[in-house]
Amino acid sequence: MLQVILKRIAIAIPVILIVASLTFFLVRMAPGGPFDAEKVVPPQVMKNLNAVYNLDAPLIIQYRDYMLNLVQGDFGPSFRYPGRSVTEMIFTGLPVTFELAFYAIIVAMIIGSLAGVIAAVKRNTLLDYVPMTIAMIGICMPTFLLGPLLVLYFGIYLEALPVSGWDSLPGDKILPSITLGAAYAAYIARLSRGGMLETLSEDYIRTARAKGASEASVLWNHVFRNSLLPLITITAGIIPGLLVGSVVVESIFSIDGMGRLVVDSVMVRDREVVLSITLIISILTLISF
Amino acid sequence: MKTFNILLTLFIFYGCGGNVSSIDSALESQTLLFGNGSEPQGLDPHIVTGVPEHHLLISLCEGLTIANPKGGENLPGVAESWEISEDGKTYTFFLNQNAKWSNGDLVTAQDFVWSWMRILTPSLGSQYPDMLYYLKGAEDFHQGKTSDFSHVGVSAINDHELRVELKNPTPFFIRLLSHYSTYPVHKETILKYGTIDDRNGQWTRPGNFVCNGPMSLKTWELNKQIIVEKNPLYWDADRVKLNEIRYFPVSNESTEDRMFRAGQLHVTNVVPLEKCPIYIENENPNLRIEPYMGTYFYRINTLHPILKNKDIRLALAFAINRKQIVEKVSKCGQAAAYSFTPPGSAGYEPDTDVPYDPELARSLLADSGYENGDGFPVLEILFNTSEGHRKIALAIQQMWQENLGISVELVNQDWKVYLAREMTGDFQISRAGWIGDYEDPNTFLDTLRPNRGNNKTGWENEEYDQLLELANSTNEQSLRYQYLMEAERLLISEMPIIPIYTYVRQYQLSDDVKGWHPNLLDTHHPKFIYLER
Repeated sequence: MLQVILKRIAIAIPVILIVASLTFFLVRMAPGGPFDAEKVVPPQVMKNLNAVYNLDAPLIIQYRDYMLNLVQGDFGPSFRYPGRSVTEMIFTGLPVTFELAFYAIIVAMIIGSLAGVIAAVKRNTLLDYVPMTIAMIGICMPTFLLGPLLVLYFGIYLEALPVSGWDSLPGDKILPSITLGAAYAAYIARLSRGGMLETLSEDYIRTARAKGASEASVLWNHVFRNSLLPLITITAGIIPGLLVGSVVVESIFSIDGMGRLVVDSVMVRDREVVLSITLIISILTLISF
Repeated sequence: MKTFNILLTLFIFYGCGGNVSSIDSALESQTLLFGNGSEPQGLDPHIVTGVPEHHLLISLCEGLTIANPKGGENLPGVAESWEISEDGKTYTFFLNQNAKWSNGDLVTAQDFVWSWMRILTPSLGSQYPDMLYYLKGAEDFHQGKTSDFSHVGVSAINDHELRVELKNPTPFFIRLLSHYSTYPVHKETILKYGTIDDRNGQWTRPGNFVCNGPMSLKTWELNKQIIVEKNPLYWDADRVKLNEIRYFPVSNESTEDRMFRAGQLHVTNVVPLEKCPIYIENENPNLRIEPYMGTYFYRINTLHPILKNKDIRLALAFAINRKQIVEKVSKCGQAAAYSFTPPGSAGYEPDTDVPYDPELARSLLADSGYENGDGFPVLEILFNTSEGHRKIALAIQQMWQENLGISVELVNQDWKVYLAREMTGDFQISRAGWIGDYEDPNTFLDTLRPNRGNNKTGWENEEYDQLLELANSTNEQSLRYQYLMEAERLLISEMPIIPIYTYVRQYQLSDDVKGWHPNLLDTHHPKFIYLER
């Protein structure tokens, strides 16, 4: 086991370094600097600003300094928000995004496996077709459509839930979690239906029934538990997807997570933030797989 | 199933943490819920630029004067009164003796001298030092030609009297003083958390922040909200009725619109483009469309071999039907623009005209050797990616095709790429906008002088430069406006920029908000605002 872990780390380190280097040069090569604005600043001011942030140094020196700082865990200062370090900004956003992803997984698991179980047990009836059709729609429907629809119905029409925010108003976590989790719920529903059907045809299920176990006990103790295995395996795989998917959800619901931070940072060329978030997502992906 | 139940209950109850806050409960607590566009860069008035920062800083700090909420001349801020010398070059400000910092210290004339020295310190890298370039010696100090600040025209006569000496009589100087770049900062606080030229000092954090405005900083949660609360030490605290303002950085326009509809905001930053015509048609009572000190225009690269020909620029301008653009394309109350400076800026009414005259446009083009557009090269319209800009560019593309027989390509670019291309002159025609910093035609006309970085057209005209110089050297407002008007006429006759429309501010405002007046600069000082139903 230890050997496997060490081997994974040995592979991960060069990958992270390559990602860091590539991102560094890609971000630097994008046209437009962090201090360009519609109101042009005088050349003297631009010179001073570049000096303050070490942007007047040759690219290779900037790269060296960046990598050296990175190794020491220092992501550097934000260009856009003077006085804030990138580390601070990321550690403000990251927990929120993780929390959102966590609830989304719960939503996906509960709705998905419930729908999958019902569909499998009532195979080829209306209770199979309806949840599975909804699941298909769920997989196809993009979050930027589902989010506003949920908001319109529950937030504005029913006035039951807040339409934006995270941890500010009662119940404001419900709609974002459902929006992000829905696509995965659909995915899980299809998978768990498949898993259930496969398990239902196993010999030991027939044995359990022959022994006189109640249908509920057969389904819960034998079928459901065994069909859960593939679900657990895929959950680890969907985590990076959830983190990336949260970019859209955070924007729709105005949530102060990492997804929104990365979009805003790309727009304003806050290079260090973009670099650091790309790195973190790469590391998370490496861990998950 | 038990586990699921527990998880579900946990999930719902955990989600139900936090405080209840909506416009209903805000009414009682006098809490204004403010949609503030994007996350502010910071709260250091000498570092930041931008509208969200402006909204926050007028609450937190105060300059010598404050913008009049009903428009017109500025009102006293820290300066109770002022005297202006005969020649209009020396100002003496008498500071309010009750003006205090939020930590209880008195605001003194020395504070202003130190603060203005700070913004002019080159190594601070402030982006707004030119707001003080009107002071004698300020530009030289900022450009590093002198390091002796005593040569700059600002000095403290005593604790409560401040003398300012200007290079030229600058009739709009009092108006400049409500801009946040001229605000004082608390010397001891800044030096406690850094040096005079430290951009990254921690003094703007809640708990550290000291300033002299009607509100003080309570909390600041990045990308979530900033809460400011009433500052009991403010010299005019009796007038301040709001107890709290919550600024929400909601950059997604549709999200902001939904928040307003769900009663989570009193005022929005904008109205989504596609919603505006619908709200106008439905007569939405909360929709506000008000004149704004800004112009939407097309910038022409006059160094381009074809576009350096004035007649071609005029032909392009005369072939655009502005009225149709505002009525059929932008559709949100904008007014067609026939001058660069929006009409009504501090009583300035430009009399220029840019007629829609396809006949004249065609003949101008023919005179330049392109009869019916034959042989005219394909030009590009550059704009930053946005549905609104694209629609207008499409309309203009079609008008030029129909009226002049020329084709243009539309090129949309990411914001920063668009800026970089404009800055390096790598464009032919580009979409642009300009919002005035203060209410005076100078804030527009000055940008097109030859040596200004914001010119970007490559257009240089000596006569234009001289007219603005003349306007700046006179103290008599009517004469000054004459010079500026002449400059404006010259500009329009040369057409390095093609005005399209005058901006309007479109936003939604709750009926509960009182004391909120429309004004050209869209400045709403919190001390005049209150909530009532």
